Amino acid sequence: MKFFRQAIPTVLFFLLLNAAAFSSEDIGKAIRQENETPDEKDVEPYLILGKKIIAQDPQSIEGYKLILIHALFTKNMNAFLNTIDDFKEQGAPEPEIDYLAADMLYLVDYFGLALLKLADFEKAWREKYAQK
Amino acid sequence: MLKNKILPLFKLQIVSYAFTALLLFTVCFFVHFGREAHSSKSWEYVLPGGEDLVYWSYGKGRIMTPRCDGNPFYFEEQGTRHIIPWTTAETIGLISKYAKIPFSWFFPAWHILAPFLTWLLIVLCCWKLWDYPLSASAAITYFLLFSTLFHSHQMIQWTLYRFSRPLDGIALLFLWISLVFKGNRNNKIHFCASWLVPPIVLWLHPYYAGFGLWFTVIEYVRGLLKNKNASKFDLRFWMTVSTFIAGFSFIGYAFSGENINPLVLFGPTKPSFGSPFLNLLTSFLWLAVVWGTVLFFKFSFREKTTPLDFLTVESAIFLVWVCWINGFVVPKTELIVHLHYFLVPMIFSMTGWVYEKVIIFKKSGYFSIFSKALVFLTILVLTLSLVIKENLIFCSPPYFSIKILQYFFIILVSVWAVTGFDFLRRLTTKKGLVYGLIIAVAVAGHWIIPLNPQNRDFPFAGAFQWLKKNAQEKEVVLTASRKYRFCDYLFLKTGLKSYYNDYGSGNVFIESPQAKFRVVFYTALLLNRVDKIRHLEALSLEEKIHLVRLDYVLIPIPSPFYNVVTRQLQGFLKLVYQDKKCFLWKVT
Repeated sequence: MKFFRQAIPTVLFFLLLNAAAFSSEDIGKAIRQENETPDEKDVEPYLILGKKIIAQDPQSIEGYKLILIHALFTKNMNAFLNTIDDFKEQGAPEPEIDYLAADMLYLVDYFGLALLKLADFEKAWREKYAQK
Repeated sequence: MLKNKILPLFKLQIVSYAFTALLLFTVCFFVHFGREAHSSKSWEYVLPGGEDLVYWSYGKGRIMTPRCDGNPFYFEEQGTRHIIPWTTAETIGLISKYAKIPFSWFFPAWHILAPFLTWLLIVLCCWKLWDYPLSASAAITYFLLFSTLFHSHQMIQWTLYRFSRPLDGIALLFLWISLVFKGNRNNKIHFCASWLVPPIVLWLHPYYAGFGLWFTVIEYVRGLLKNKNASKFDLRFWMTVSTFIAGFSFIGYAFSGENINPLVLFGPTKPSFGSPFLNLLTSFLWLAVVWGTVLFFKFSFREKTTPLDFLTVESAIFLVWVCWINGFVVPKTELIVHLHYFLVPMIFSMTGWVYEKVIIFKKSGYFSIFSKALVFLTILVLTLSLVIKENLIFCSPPYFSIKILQYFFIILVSVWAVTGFDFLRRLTTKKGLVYGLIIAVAVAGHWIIPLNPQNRDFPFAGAFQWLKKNAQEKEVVLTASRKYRFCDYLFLKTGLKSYYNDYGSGNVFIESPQAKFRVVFYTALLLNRVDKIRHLEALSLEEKIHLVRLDYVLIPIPSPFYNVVTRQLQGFLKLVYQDKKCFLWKVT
C-alpha cells in the first residue's frame, strides 16, 4: 500500500510534467470542450506543478505555461491577466511570456485579449531588442 | 485703410486682447506640435493620439464616395455613417471638398482657432453677460483653460487638444448657460442667440445639449413658480422650443440612412470609472458641500440666493442624476465616460461662485475665522496626504465628483489668497507680471503634454508615398504591427483601407462573419497559426488570404513578426517597396 501511495504522486507528477509539453492546441481544445467550469481541485495540480518548476527555474516558460493553463481552466480572465503581470514582476522571461499568453488566449477564442497581449509582446520586444 | 480703419481697432481693449490671444495660441501650437514633428521627423505625422486620428478620419470619410464616416477604415463598411453625427469633423470634410482646400490644412487651423475661439467666447460671456471686468475675464479664462493641461487625468488633460469634442462645444455651452441665467428677452442679440445656440450645440455635441436643457427647463419652471406674473414666453421658453425642434431633426437624421448600430452609444464602461455606488456617493458629497454652502450664506448672512448659487447647485444635482442613471438605471452607459466633458463649464461657474462667497466673507467681518478654518483644512489635507502617501489635491481618482472637489479646493485657496493678502492683490494688478505668468503657464502646459509614442520616428512615411502613387483606390493594406494599432495614419494619408485596426474593429463592427474572420486571421498571422485556423482547416492558404480583401502587407523594420509573416505568406508576397524603416509587399 505504501508503495502505491508513493507511486501515485510520482506518476501524476510525470504526467503533469508531460502536460507542460502538451501542444497548446490540445489544451485549447480541452478548454473549449468544457461546457462547465471544472472544479478548482481538478486543475489544482497544474498550479502546484507549475509553481514547483518555476521555483527551480524562474526562466522556465513551461512552468509559466502550466500556471496559465490552470488560470484558463478556471475561466477567470482577470486572474489570468493578473497572473501574467505577477510573473513579470517575479522575473519571467519577457517578451516570451506575453507571446505565450497571446497564443493561449487565441486558442480559447479570446481574440481581443490575444491582440492586446500581442501589443504588449511587441512593446516588450522593441524595448529589449530593437532600441538598443 | 490699414491706418484709418484697422489700426484704430486695436485701441479697443477686446481687439488687442483677442489679437494677443491668437498669437499666444499660435505659439502654443508650435510648442507642442513642433516637439511632435521633431519626434516623428515630419510635420505630416504629428497627431496627438489615436482618437484624433479616428475623428479626422471621419472627416475624410465623409467626403469619400460612397461616404464612409461610419467606419472609414474597412473596405466592407463603406456607405455607413454614425447615428450621432460627428458634425465638426464632417463639416470640415465638406468645406475641404467644396472649397478645394487640402484637408490637412485644417489640422493647424483647428488647433489654433478652436482654443482661441473658445477663449474668446467665454471671455465675451463673462464680460458682457456676467458683468465681470474684461481684463479679469481674459486672465481667469486663460488660467482655467490652461489648468486642464496640468491635470493628471488624461482625458481632462486633452481637453484643449482632442479633435473635435469636447472643445467644439465648450464655449457654446457656456454661452447657452449664460443666456439662461443672464439673458434678456428684449435684447435682439440675446433673442437670436437663444434660437441659434441650442440647435448648434445639439448637433455639435448631444451630451452638452442635455446639460444645457437641464438648466433651461429648471430655470424656466423656477421662474414661473417664483413670479406667476412673469412672461411665459421668456428666453428660456424659446430655448427649450428650439432645442426640441433641433431634437426632432436630430432624431430624423438618426433613424434614416445607412446608420451604424446605435449600440455605439452604449459601449461597456471601463472599470477605471470606479464603482457605481461610490460614484453616486461622491456626487452626493459634492452636492452636500454646494447646497450646504448656499444655505449657510442664506441663513447666516441673510444673503439672497444668486444665479451662480442656482447654477452650481443645479450642476451638482445633474451630476448626482448622471451617476444614479449610469449606476442603477441604465448601467454601463457611455455617459459616465464623458463626464469630463462637463468639467470646464463646471469649474468656470465654480470660480465665479467661490469668488462671490469669499467676497461676502471679506465684507462680513468673519474673514479671519474663515481664513483660519481654510488654513486648518489645508493643513489637514496636506497631513493626510503625507500619512497615506497620496497627493490628495492632484491625484486622479476615478470619481468625477472628487475631481470637482479637488478643483474646488484649489480655486478656494487661490481666491482666498488673492482676496486676503494685499500684496498678492497688488501683484494681480501688475500687467507685465500677469502677462508673463499667462505665457509661462501656457508654454509650460503645452510643453508637458506627453508626445504620441506612435509618432516617434514614424516608419511608414515612404511606403505611404509609394502607395499614394501606385495603389488603386480603396485597396486594403495589412499592417503587421501592434505598435501602430491606434495610430497607423493609413486611411488619413493614403485613403486606402486597413485589413485590421483596433478602431475599425470597435464594438459595433465585430458581429459580421467577415469581421470575425478578419480578427481571427490577423491574430493567427501574428501568432504563426494561419495554417491551423479552427473550422477553416479545409480551406487552402490562398482561399484564406482572399476571404476578406487583402492587397498589401506592410511591416516596420525591425519587427518581431517579420519572420512569421514572411514564412506563412511565402509565395503570395511580392516586394514592391522597401526602405530603412519598412517593407511593403503586394499580395498576389
